[in-house]
Amino acid sequence: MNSRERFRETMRYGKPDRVPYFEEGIRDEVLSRWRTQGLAPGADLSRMFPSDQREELIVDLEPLPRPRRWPTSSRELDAHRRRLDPDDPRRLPKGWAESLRAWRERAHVLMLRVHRGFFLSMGVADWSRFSEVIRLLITSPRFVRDAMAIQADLAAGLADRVLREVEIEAAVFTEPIGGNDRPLISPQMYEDFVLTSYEPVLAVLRRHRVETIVFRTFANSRILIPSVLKGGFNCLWACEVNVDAMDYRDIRREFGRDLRLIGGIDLDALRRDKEAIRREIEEKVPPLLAEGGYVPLADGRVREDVPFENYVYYRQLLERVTRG
Amino acid sequence: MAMKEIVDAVLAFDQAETIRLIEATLDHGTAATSVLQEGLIAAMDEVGRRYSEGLFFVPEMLMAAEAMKAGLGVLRPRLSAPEATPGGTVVIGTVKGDQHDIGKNLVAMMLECAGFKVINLGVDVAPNRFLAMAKRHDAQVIAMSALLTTTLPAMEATVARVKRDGGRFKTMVGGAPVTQILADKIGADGYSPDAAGAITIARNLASR
Repeated sequence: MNSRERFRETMRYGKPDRVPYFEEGIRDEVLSRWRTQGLAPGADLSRMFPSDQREELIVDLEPLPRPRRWPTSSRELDAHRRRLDPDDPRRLPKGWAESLRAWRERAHVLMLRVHRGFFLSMGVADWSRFSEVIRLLITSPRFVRDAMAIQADLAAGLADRVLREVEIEAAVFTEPIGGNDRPLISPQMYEDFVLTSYEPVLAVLRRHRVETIVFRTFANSRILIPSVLKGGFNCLWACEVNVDAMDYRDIRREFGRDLRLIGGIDLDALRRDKEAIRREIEEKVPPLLAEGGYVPLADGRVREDVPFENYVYYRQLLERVTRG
Repeated sequence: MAMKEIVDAVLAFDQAETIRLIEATLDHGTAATSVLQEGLIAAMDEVGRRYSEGLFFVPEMLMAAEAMKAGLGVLRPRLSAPEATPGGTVVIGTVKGDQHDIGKNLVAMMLECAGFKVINLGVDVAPNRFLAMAKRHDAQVIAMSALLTTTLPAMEATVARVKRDGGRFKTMVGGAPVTQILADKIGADGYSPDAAGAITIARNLASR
């Protein structure tokens, strides 16, 4: 199987030849550190360990041009909508035609990031705008719903434009909304202001028969999962999680095969020692693999605080455990 | 009765009503310190309780805090500085190398509403600056936040620096990668996983 086939088969609860091994977003500064810890010069991690290439197609979902000040009232929304035109050619990645040709021949997994989530779509980049948006949820709910609907029109329009030209393995909604102990807003608020706005985007994905729709979230978003499933998502990718609240074994027990899973390996174990890594992988991965619909992966970007020998041990053990 | 109405107005996020009720209560001769403690701080304690029970989330906390602060604005001219901040003084910041501030600002907001004087140092704060500002403002507690695992060493260095100075100041820590186990390991005096819990921790530490 190639990587595309392997991922699709995994997500269909079928019989892949093995699980996909995705790369954990390791940056150059990490590799530089690892070269002082034993990584050979010029070594390619994707050749040292079995890997499945995954590409994320990023379209520009931001207002163009960038606003100096984000809207706070309904009378500003017409101008805001004009900045969110899905037909703007700048929204597609550079080299689009060449990429299309390459993608048609591809063996790797291609995912389309269709939405940046509530807070980024509302222009939150700092405390000032964060507190402003939080306030608007209570004082101007209609404005917030309308602003999110405009963002959804952009996201749906862009998704449709892309999917007319290229087939993807999954669509990803990124949703940085988790706090340490719970999401920043309640499930009711999330359904009202956010999930409702996703409906046009999900309709486009269904029309183009995108099989895997990923809710990629951070920290603790556990109590949103029922709403997310109801909303039409079928795959969870939880990053930088609170391990107690977001243990994939518990999540699988609670939500079953309706929810595919990507991730689930506590990155903190990789920072600690081999025993922590061994326990983490041997306890968590086999039961999830047995049920299928699961891609094991560290739950965050591997950074400089993960020693190289730990990473090697983790990759080798993961392969051993997943190949049975 | 008046105090309960003030609490209800804060919980309804009604700034205008909070102000009106406080002015009426003061006009009736109630001491400003009583209004602060039994009205506003009591309201924020109820906010914390509702947050702990999953009834309130961040929007409700923030709106209640703003109503509380509107009420506090009426009381301030009638309170001495220590009366206005009966909880003590907390110096708070995000540790060196870390630029994240939303969680830290939520904690700062809740501490202010709980009656603390809060010196917010912002982000990327070096250990010596935490200590220097704690001394300058005669703080009781130094609160540190981090969102990146790579900046946890800076948190540990700050706690160590504070302890080396004689331990006059209590330290509390929080943030996404922080746990009770980590807090204990680095010798912090307190840890809270959320903004509402931080009030309880800060009160305990400030009273020691």
